[in-house]
Amino acid sequence: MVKTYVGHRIIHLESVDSTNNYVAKLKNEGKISSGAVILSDIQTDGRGQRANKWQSNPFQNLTFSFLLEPQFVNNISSITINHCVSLALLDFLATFKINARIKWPNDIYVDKRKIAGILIENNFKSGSVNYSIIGVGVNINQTIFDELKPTSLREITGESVNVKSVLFEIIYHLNARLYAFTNTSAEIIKGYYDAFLCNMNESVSYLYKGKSTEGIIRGTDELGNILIEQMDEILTFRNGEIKLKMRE
Amino acid sequence: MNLNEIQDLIKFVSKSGVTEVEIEEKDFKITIKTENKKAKKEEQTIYVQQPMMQQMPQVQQAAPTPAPAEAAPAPAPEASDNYITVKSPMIGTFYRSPSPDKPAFFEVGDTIKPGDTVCIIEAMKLFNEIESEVAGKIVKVLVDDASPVEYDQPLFLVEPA
Repeated sequence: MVKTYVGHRIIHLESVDSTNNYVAKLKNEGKISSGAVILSDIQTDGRGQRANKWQSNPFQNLTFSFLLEPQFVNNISSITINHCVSLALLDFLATFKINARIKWPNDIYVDKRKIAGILIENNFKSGSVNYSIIGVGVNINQTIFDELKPTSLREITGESVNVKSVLFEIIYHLNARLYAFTNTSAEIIKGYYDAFLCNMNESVSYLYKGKSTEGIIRGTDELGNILIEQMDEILTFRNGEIKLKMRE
Repeated sequence: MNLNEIQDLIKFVSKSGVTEVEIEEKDFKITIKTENKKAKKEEQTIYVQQPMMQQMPQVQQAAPTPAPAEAAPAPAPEASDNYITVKSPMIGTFYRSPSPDKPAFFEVGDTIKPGDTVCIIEAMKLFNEIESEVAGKIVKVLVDDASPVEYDQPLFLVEPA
């Protein structure tokens, strides 16, 4: 039986600044334990990658965060948490026959459009992760977006979906992937993650130190760096060091 | 919440495989318990199909991999000239505030105690809140906001309390 690592407790709010912040607050007050989920209809200050605001219309999309303390999941590392959450989102989308891919390090794309994103915040104490807060945003029923061109479940399937139902389905896949990790190894999970990277084993162009270069994506290393092959040499880049251009 | 909504909720929970869940809404709290039947049936979890033509991970190789850098012991604060140097436990980008539109965690002259968050170091889009292990007064910030830091790089000088 798949263990419950996530979802034994769900707190559903109408409105909050950011679900990640709220998890941190409840954790600091000692009110929640590992696996608790906070879901909010409205996020007034939802965040994507630092400074990037997550565009989400109230009630149309799913935004939730959960707490994970590594000791309850075989001392899982944050890199492996990122792999498991990314793969769980792909598993969920696959149930709608949607072929999604991971844009390194943790955005979920369908074709060249973003459908989901992950934001992980770690509380670091004495040199190791004390707890992680994992924020997930999935575009469900939103069909009108400004600027950027994301997509949503509804836009792809043509049908509107119950947001809460999606939460429970994703919880199922999260538990399954975390359980798989406790039965195998971080290396194997990383192999699956790599296999689903956008443009894996394909030539891409990328910006490095202001210069546009071409190389072949060969996966990631155990620290989460991307590996790019160039002239028979494997180069390693950290997130932020390079800007990958998606292949048309 | 009406009966229909509760029935829906029960249906959703059964999809999650979670055997017991406590759900709190604004004005009520409900605990839903499910039998293990469903969970058993779904023991063979269906994962997304591996894309063709991809390198498959070698399943035989089940050796546990060493945990990434985060498992490394924190560099011990170092005392020099009566000040304690707080160092970076990892490679990443140093941030002084929780988000760009928020004030810094502290300013020079502020007092900190163990457990206070002093900065965030971002690595691979993972945001690591760094807690202080010392008590004292911040006398100097050695790194600019939003700049890259290396493992063990000094971040602040603290005058011990």
